Amino acid sequence: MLHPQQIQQQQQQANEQQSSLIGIPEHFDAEYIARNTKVVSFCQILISILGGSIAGVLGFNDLKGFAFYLFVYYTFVCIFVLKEKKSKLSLYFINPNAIWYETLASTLMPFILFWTFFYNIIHHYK
Amino acid sequence: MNKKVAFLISIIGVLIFLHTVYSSLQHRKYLRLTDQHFEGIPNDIIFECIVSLFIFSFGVVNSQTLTPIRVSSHLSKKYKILFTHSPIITIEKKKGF
Repeated sequence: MLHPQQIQQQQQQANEQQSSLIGIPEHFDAEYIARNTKVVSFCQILISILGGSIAGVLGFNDLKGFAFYLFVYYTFVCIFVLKEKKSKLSLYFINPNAIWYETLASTLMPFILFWTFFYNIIHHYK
Repeated sequence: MNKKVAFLISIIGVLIFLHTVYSSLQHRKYLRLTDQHFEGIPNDIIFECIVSLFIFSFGVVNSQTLTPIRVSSHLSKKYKILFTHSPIITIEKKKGF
């Protein structure tokens, strides 16, 4: 039989080991997460507007334009990741890899709008 | 990078793009006046477009700053006084309640 003090000591040691394994959980500020995602979507919308107008000037039709959209999107992501460095990116986002596909659908609309606008200006010019 | 410099760089990108629009319109007009058939945009305009895209995206990305999301990174920089301080206490001290 163990003495009750010894049992307590063993329990304390076990608890310490568990806490050292798990560690204190990280707390994130929801306000700053929202601010960071807002910054990314702001940059992405501006760049997709310019990319769409370039697609219109160059006169891309149907699927070529969407391929150009992917090119524009990934140039932005590459510049963003190179600027912030990949190891540092986990400081600003919970899931840093989500940049590669997160705003892909939402910024397609301004792209198509400006694509059709500049295509009509230059290629339907009479 | 300084925010104003990044803003200027993005404006330069937009100006280069507007120059490409103007030059492509001028190219169309030249072809129409000389009765030639249109066969795509010339290569120098395409090159200028891609350059303007890169310059603009570089400027826009550098004009924004991100903030770290961990709570400890903000709270560790604050002093204890900021949490305990309230304007009511100062008013009470001044008025002598």
